[in-house]
Order: sequence, then structure tokens, then C-alpha cells
Amino acid sequence: MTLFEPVKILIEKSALDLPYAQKLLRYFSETPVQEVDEIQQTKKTLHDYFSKNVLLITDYKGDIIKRCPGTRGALCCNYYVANIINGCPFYCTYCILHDYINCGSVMICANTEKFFDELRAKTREKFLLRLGTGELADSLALEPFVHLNDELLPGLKECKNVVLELKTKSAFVDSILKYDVADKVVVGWSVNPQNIIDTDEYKSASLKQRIEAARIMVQNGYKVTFHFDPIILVPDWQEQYRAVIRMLRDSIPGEQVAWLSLGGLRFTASLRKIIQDRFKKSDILSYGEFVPCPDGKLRYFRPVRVNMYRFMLKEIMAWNRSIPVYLCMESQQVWKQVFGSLPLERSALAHVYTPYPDTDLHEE
Amino acid sequence: MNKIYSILSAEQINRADEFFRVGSSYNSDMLRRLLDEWGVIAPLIVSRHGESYRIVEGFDRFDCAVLHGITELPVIEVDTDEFSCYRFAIFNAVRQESCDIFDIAQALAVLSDYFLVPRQDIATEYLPFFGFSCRDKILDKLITIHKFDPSQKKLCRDECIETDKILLISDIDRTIRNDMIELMIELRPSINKVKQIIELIDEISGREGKPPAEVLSDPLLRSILDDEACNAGQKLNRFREALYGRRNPALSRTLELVDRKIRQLKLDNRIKLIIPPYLEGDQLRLEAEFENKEQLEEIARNLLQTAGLKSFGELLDIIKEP
Ligand code: SF4
Repeated sequence: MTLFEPVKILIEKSALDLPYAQKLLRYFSETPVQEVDEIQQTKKTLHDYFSKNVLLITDYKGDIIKRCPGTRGALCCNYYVANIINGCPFYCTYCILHDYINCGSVMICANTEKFFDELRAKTREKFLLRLGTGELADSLALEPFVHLNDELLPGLKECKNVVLELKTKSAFVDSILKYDVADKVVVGWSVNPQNIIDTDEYKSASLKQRIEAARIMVQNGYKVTFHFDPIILVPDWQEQYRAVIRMLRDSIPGEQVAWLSLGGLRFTASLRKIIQDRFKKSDILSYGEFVPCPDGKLRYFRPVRVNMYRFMLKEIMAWNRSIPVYLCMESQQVWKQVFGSLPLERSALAHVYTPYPDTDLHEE
Repeated sequence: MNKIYSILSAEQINRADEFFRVGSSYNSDMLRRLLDEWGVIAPLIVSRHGESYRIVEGFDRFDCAVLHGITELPVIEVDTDEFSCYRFAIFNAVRQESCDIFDIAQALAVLSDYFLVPRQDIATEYLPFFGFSCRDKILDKLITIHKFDPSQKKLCRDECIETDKILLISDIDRTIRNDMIELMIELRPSINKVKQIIELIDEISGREGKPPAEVLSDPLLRSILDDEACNAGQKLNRFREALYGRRNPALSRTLELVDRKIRQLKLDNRIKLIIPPYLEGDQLRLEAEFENKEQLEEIARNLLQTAGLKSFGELLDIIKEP
């Protein structure tokens, strides 16, 4: 069975004439198609049994690009997200999508022109807009099937002051290399020890495959990013994560790492329930001690988290001291404990944490 | 479908064949009184099976009638297949609200194993009919519940353990199911507490690499359950605390230490020092109650004194870097 094999396509009538929608229908020419008035309405009625492996093609009316919602009590890194694809064929136990997108289907916004209109309206001279497509999806997991890069990358070449991060757990990078966009695109990998990939990141690429794909990108002049997120405190986590960092060190020159993030395992109470119910074999909830945080998510108890970040930071610095490391969704207090200072006081990160000139106050 | 109204002698009916029985007996006292006054009026529904008849609906009426010495009963004989009869029996049991969760689980097992109804049809057609949402997970739970030992089913029924709780213990490790049933009978925890206990046992078991039964056989937990000086509520709290402490040793130790330090401050009892929940945050808050200037001054003096205490410094240190 391939990674993505939709049994049905639901397409919004208003999307029928969009060029990308037409292409998608060609890519999946064997799949039965049903036209619907409004995908959002239809989505609500999709039932567990029938919605898995349904591809929804929409002419999305809302904002495609949004400021990353961040989380209460955490420092904001001024990231923007473009939710062109919602849904993922991988199956990570801890994935927040289980909680957000409950119908299990994949939705693609076919109106990519709107994406570029929004992007042009948001970029500003002298400020680099960091944009990612991996908030409600894996940026590249569906690439061999939906060829989104062919829609985005040629247009992106013309856009100024933007860097698009394609965050993935796959090794599907070939389609990027077709375009000369090393100054506009960074590819980011979520990394974890292979043990954890085996037990908690089903269907995703192995650690070796991810690192090899990163090496290929670097070889082709691209910068890459890495995300140790979520870090999971399995019994011998220190040895395991140290080994991952050493593997990275052996393949990727530190100077080519645009940024690297650290984030401990965190989940909402409802996601916790989903993990307990669906992933009986996963042990991730058993390790570490979790406490509710001001944003309602459960995280490892603060001293445990701080200790974990300090360890990771030390190992990363041993790889290369110039890698900009930041903490994902962490409070000032934790930042200070780990780094001794806040990101704005750290030169390597100041440009990231300087508030982006607000193009979209009305969004908030 | 052909229906024949007739009178059958009790002997023609094979009472022992309970294939179509779905659900438990209902209030037979009342039935007995009705029979005293009216005799058997509502016909039993039966279907022919070889030389005799099987009851599709009316087991309790049959039993009461026989007890009353009635030897002939009005019946409606239905001439249809087993599956239709079974579906009728199910609908009837639901209508009479005579099904508990074990009956439902049994009925679903018959549909699946005997009538080979596809899983998806059971989930979408029958689960909602029994009042459940049509989800795979619920179906799995009900299948497990059907496999409970008869003694476990009996205990749950006799002690009126609620359906939600039975669903909860359906997918716990089999080796602790008896213990959990006993615990629910003895300590009467709410559904949320049962959930918490199960989660804690599960996580301790995963963390320590010990089977759940071994976690539950911890002498400390046993001694709490055996402590005759405590009532059920007290036992339940201590039991949960003990599990929580074992699951979260660093957190429990730190919170205990913070508590101790706060007690050492001997704050005026009109002052409340509030630490950030679970030490997520570094801001402490104060609440003070006073009615006049003098009381406020007194509180201020107490606070000043507290600020100079060694334990106050220690408390701040713990909160800053637990
Ligand atoms: S790869 Fe990302 S989006 Fe996909 S299942 Fe895993 S965590 Fe979720």
C-alpha cells in the first residue's frame, strides 16, 4: 500500500476551474470525485468510518497565511504559517492533528494564487518573513502525490524578504532541487532517535533517510533546519539524543544550519486521551512527570525540562557553537534558566525574535 | 412474514432454548401480580424450531405463567429466519430497557460471530441503537466486556457498577480487572477517579517496566486498603496520593518541600501566599484580609518579618530553580 491512496475526492464546486485543482484531479485520475458546495460544511458531516483517505480540494476563502498562534505564556518567534495542506499521511502518536483535524482526511487549498497575494501583502522591506507550511501538515509528506512544490516554488523565486521553511519527517526533497530557490527555501527536519521513530512516528522516514536528505540539500547549497521536537524522555534519553546529534554533526556542517529548535513533549488533555486510546503500545506518557501549564497543555515538570534543554544545548554547542538554537513554546522563565538570557538579548536570535512589523493586526 | 395466532401448551415450548434472549428479566413480582388478576393476555412470540418452539419474546411471562400452574399460553408464531427473530429480540429488549452493558455486549457478539454481521454495520447500525456512538473504540470495548469472566460480570451486576466504569475497565490489563472491580465496590470512586487510578497504574507500569498487577500489589497500597481506621473516602484519597507520588516522585517531593517551607514561614492566618501552580512561573501572589488600618499595619509587619526569614529565601530559591 502506498503512503497516500485516497478512496474518494470531494471537490468544492468553486475550485473546479482552479489550475492546481485540475492538476490534482489528473494526479488522482483513478479516484472517484464528488462535487460539493462547501467543503467546510461537508467536513463536519464526515464520519470516522468514511472519512479516512478522503482528499478534499477547496477554494479556501479564509486567510491562508496567518501568524503562528503561539501559546499562552510562551515567547513568540514571529513565525508565519501557510496552511495550504491540512492533514498528514504519517501517523505520529503525539501529533496535535489527531486533536485538531478530527476527520482524518487531507484537505488542500487549490487557490495558490491567493497564497501569493497574501504573501506579497505581508512581506516588508528589511524584515525577513519566516513562513512554514508544516503547522497542520508535514510540508513534504504528500509531495510525491500532490506536487505542491511545483505550484509554490517558481512563484516564490519572485518574492522578496521571505524564507519558506518546509518542515518534514520525510525524505522527499527531489522536487525542491528542480528549482533554484536556495535563497528562499530552507528544509527542516524533525528529528528523534530511531527508537522513538519506530514506536511513535509511524510511516515516516528513518533518521538515516532524513539526515541523508538534509545532506543532499546542503550539498546543493541549501540551508537546513532541525527540530528536536518533541523531545521524549525515554529511559536512556541522554545517550539516544547525544547519538542523534553526533549523527547530524557527522553529516551536516553546523554553518549550514539556519536554526534549530528544541521542544519537550507537550499535549492537551484531549490529545492525551487520544494517545491513551489509540496508541496502547506507546509508552511516551509514562516517562517524565507532566504538569499542566498556563496554556492548558501538559509539559514535563519545569526542572526536568530545563535539565533536558541544558543537556541538548550542551551537545549542540559541541557540534557547532554558531547554530542558532531556540526553544519552542517555552516561557521566559525557562529561557532564562536554560540560556541565562532572553532571545532578544542573544545576537544569534535577535533577528528572529524582533517583532515583525505588524501587517495583520486585524487578524489577532 | 406469516404470523399465526394460536394457543400452545407449555410443554410444546422449549424454555431451555434461550437463543433469542436479549437482556435480563424484569420485575417479576409485578408480573406475577398482573398474572393473578388477568392471566396471560399478551401472547408470547415464538418460532418453530424442529419439533418444538423457541421463545423470541416473553421468557418472563412464560416463567410466571408456569409458576402459576398455567399450562396453555397464547402465542404468535412467526415464520421467519433466525436473524429477523434475533433483531426483533434486540429491538424489543431495548424498548423494554432490559439490557445492561453485558447483555448488549452479548448481543453484539452474537451478531458478529453467529450472524456474521460485518463490523462496520454493527458499529453504524447497532451501536447507536443501544445508545452508544458508532466508534470502533466502543465496539472494541464491548467485545472485551463480553469476554469478562462470569464472576466479574456477576459482581458488577450485583454491585450495580455503572456502565461508564465498566467501559473504562474493559481495556485495562486483564490481570488487574478483579482488583479494579473490588476497588470500585469498596471505595466507590467517581468515574474521573477511576480514570485517574487506571492512568497512574498504567504509567507506573510503563515507567518501571513492571506488570500492572505488580504495581497494585505494592505493600503500601495494600496497607491503605486494609486500614480499618479509615473510611472509604479517606482510603481512596490516600490510595490516589500514593499512586501519584510513585508516578511523579520529583514533582511530589518538590511540592511537599514547598508546602513545608510555607508552613515554616508561620504566616499570619489572614495572609495567603499563593505559589504558581506546579511552579510554572516565578511570580508569587499574596492575598490578605483586613478590616482596618491597624490590621493592615500588623500584616505589613508580619510580611516584613517573613521577608527576612531564611526559609523565605529558600522558598524563593526552590521556586526559581526547583
Ligand atoms: S509528521 Fe507531523 S503532521 Fe504528520 S503525523 Fe507526524 S507530527 Fe503530525
